[in-house]
Amino acid sequence: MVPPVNRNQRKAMTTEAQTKEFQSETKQVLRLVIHSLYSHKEIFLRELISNASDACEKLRFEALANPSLLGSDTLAVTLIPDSAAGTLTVKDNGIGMSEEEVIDNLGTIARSGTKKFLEGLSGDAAKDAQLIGQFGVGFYSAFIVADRVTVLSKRADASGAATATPAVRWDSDGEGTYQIQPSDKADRGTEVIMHLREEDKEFLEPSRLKQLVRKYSDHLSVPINLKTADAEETLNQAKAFWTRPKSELTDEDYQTFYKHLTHDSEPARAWAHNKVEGNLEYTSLLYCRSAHRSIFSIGNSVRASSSTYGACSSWTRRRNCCLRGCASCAVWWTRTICRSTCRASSCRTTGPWKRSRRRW
Amino acid sequence: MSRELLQNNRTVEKIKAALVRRTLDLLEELAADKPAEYAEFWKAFGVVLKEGLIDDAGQKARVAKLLRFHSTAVAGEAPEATLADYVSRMKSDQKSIYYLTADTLAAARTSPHLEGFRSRGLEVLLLTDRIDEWVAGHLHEFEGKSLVNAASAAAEVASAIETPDKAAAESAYKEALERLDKVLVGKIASARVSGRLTESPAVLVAGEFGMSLRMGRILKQAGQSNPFATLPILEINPKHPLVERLKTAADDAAFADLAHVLYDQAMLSEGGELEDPVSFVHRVNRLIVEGLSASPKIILS
Repeated sequence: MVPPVNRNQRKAMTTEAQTKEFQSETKQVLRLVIHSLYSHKEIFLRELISNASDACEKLRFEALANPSLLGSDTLAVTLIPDSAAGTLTVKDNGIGMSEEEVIDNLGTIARSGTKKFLEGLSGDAAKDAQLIGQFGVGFYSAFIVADRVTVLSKRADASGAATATPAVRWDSDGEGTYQIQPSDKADRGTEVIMHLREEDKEFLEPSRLKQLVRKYSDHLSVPINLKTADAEETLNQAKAFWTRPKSELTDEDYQTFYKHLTHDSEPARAWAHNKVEGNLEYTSLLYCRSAHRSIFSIGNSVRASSSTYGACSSWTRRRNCCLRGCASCAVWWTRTICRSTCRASSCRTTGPWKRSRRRW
Repeated sequence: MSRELLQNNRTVEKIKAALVRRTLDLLEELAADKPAEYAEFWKAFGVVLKEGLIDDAGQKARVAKLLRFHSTAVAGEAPEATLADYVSRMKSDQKSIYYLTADTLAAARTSPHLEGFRSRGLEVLLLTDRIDEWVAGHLHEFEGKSLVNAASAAAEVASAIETPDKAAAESAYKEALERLDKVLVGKIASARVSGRLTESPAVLVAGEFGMSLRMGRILKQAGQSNPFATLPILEINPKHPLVERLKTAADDAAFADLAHVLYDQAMLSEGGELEDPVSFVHRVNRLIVEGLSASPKIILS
């Protein structure tokens, strides 16, 4: 008989490195991600930056209710190429993960998500690349360029150092098992350290990283910094996309932001970007989607609109937003037709349709 | 932040109203500047927009202009007719916008209800989404022209398409109509001579203020009780040879067979289901056998 393990014992057990196996679906996804995206290697950076940015957004959001979480830090994503060690690190000072969250997020994939992801794969690399972000499996794209990935993470915690959630270290070569152990990481957030394969050392070059950030991540509101031995610079505009003046933005910029926001494989059909000034000041950016996508499980009947409505409500339960007050986002308009991003008073939203299952 | 706080927040209300306006601006621009793009949009989201028309009474007039319909005046698979187009094509003495709802476009295009409208050159919008029943009810009118169901007994329809020689046919069919009322009691509200049919023998129309037959079916399929259900009116085409035999059928059983066949055929043309399909088959077979024996040459040639 195995005696029941209580909380304290379990904590005590985790002081040493433990080797665990990936859930079987995870292995499958891992293999598929690496295989299907081999020709689009560079998207790993987009996915990891996107996850890091989401982690920052999540902390920013939780800090609305609990300002001590954020402290005086400026939220940022930092890329650290280290030629000597052959590693590229994507680091954020966002929400971070506890040990359990690391196991949940990096060792397993929710069954439903996996199934839909596998069903959604089309064999068209460009479309599949969109799917990866949508189903929260973007992290695994790190293994396209790395033969070993180390993740260090420390959960944001306002309760003080004594009871703070301990930092955790996760290591894997992507071959079926991973190791998990305590870490001495002192600062909040997550670091993904990729030990790059020999043929992928190009991703250590600052010029290559700059080019990729500009291509894929320029629209993110969190600053993306590049830290080299002698300097640190911000690579993106680091302004919320919708706060940038219309005159500066090209159609392509709008489409890139749309893809980031929605993971839609089709481009947006139309959009409207408006800055309202006066008693009430806000900016709205409305997108009109091209089509109902089957992967959003929306049909083409009346039933479709009510299921979208359902998605909207569940989203508003999950996240607070200012548009939720618009009784499910202007009741119906924005519900299925448009995705909107608006900034009003102190709250901000990226529409109820963002159903991606981002990790951390 | 709580949901309640935001739901009743005036700021949010204002933003909501503004976003709805912006969305409509966006769609109007798309429709005006890029009709092909708008057609694609309509294909994907037309139903949603129709739902919006029902949900948001305040924007009804603007949404109405964005609607696209199939129409007897526009051939093709894509819904292209707008209400404004319809109004511009209206005849000088035409007061209403006519529409017909059906389950499929093919059923709409061949519906017996259109026969009278076609012969008088009146355009009818063909509505094939389930939600269209509600759209028509909520829209009610467009630019002062009321929307009228072509498949109803509305006086407006009658005055538009019915012919003066109807009165003569009515007296000729007086007795047959009374017999029809008796035989089909519980199935129809009444039987009357139709002015709208040129080819089909009979058609079922909804009462002037009754719910459309299709709406009744949709509610029934959805398991809804329907306190407003009314019996339809059976309209017969006085010039149809099958109908003419109603006048001469002396035998009560033969008359009942014919009456039920006419009713069931009208129900089928309507897209409805027969309560007793087997009896329908038997009756039709009896008529065919009778027809074969009476004038075999005609049938066989």
